[in-house]
Amino acid sequence: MKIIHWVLSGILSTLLLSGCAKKPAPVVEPVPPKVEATPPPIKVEAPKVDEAALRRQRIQAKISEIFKTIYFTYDQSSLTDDGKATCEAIGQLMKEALDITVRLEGHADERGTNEYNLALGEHRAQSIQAYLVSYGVAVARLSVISYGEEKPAVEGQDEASWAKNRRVEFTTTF
Amino acid sequence: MNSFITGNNLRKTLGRGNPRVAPTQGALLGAVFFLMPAFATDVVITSEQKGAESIALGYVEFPCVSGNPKAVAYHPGAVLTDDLNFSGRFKVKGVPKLDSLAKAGFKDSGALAYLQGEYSLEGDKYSLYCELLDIETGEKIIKKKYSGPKDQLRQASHQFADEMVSQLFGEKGIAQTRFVYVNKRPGGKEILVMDYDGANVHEVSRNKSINLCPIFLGSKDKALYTSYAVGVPQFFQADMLSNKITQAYASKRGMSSSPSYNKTDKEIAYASTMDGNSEIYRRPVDGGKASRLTFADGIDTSPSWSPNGYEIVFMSDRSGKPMLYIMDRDGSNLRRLTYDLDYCGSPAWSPKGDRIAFAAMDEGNNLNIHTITPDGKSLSKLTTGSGSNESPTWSPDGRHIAFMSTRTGSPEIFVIANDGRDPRRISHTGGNSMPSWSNY
Repeated sequence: MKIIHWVLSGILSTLLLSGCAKKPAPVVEPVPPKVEATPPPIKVEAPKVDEAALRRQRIQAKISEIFKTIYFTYDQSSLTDDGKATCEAIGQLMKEALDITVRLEGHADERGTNEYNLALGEHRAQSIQAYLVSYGVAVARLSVISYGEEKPAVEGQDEASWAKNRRVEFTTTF
Repeated sequence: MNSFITGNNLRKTLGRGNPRVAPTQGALLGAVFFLMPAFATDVVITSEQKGAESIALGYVEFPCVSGNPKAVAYHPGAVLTDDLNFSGRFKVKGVPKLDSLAKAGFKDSGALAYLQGEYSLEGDKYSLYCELLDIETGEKIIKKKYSGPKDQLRQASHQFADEMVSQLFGEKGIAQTRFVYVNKRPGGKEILVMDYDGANVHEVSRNKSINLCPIFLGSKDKALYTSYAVGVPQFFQADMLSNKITQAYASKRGMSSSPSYNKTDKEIAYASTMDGNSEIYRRPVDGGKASRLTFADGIDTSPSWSPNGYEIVFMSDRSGKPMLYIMDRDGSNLRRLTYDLDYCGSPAWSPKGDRIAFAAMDEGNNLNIHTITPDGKSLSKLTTGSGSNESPTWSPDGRHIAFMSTRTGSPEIFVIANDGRDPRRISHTGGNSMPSWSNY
């Protein structure tokens, strides 16, 4: 009887034990977060760098900055220090960008005769042409025309107006 | 018919030391006209403008005897008397009709002769009759009749004025001469032509660019000018009868400007920058080989031929400031002409050969018209004032100079006698410059 007693208590305790054991928490499978389906990647070509357009932009900006009108003293066609500085910058740019060509337009103020002023305007444009040629710019890239006193920038009969008319202007082709 | 005037063969000559008509013109001219014996005797009157006496004339207003006088915008008698006064040879006193009061007035003014006439404007035709009569005797000294298309009436008045100069002075009159000149407009400058009194303005160039330096080529109907129409300034020729314009020749490089015409040899002298700075060249007017005449550093421009084609006066800044120089037609024998002024330019040699007109600054910045003898010894200043006076050009008889002046504000063309007297304004539209006076 002791064995039965023993088995019974054994069974009983197993039952009791199993009956009292904590049930393991139900394993919850983690639900994956709801993600939109990633669209398949579109085949895009990587953008090429447009060297030519960038260069054009860069040089055009320099042209606007460097080709400034050059002014002269009365009855002179020699360059002032300012004029020389502008010419140096122009020469440098033209040596860098060999596809720039320029028309040099010479002018004079209204004092003196029309014929002399035609020649004076031309002389001023030629002196700039000579400076650039000696700087190393090919003469074929530099054309010259004079308007004498015929196309004033400013109409007026005083020194302030005259000073603005004694000039060489640049028309660039690029 | 051997009238007193034509029989006496009045003749004008230039020069110093020739006997002059006494100042009391009434008395002595009376003798000249009417008291000379009937056999031909040459009477010589100096034709220098300076101090020359003018002949007093009367004028009775010409009536329009048929047709509507308003069919033309002028009165032919007024055109005639303006021509006579302009010439400096006559002083005309006008009256509305010939009565004893008018006749007395004529005599008071010293007139020994008077003008009478009439005109008609029937349909599209005109007729004009003019006569010059002796006040005392009523004898007709000169008489002429003209007719033609209505638009030629003004020219008929000019023709009679020239007829009077021819018969009374034995010289050609300038009443039928013309100017070519530059007119400023938006966007440029065009070449125009007009009668010497400012009427009948017509376009010569029509290219909407800048056109400069026009000259006549020997006749009143052909002109040469410099134009930017094809880019760098080149010469163009205009035939004003056929309305054709052609490029004179193509210069391979440089600009061509400032032409002067030598009608004896049919060549032009001009300025060109084809060899660098502005130099003077000579070439046949229709093209052909150019001869270079100047070789100095600096600017050489504005050549003007002597009337015999042997020499050229021009402007050069080789001394440091713009002055006038003369050289032979081949560039040799070069000598300086002006010294005492600050700036001398745009020289024009008189058709008489005895003086050169030019524009110069003596003090200040404005230019005035001067004349100088070719030996440089006698200088005269003809204009004064604060405006700019430039681009002188001579009448073909050397008695007048036309030029541009800004004295009224905008540039206009004026005329003065060759001694500076009697200034007259010719143009009125503004922006007019660079006149050139035609031949007869």
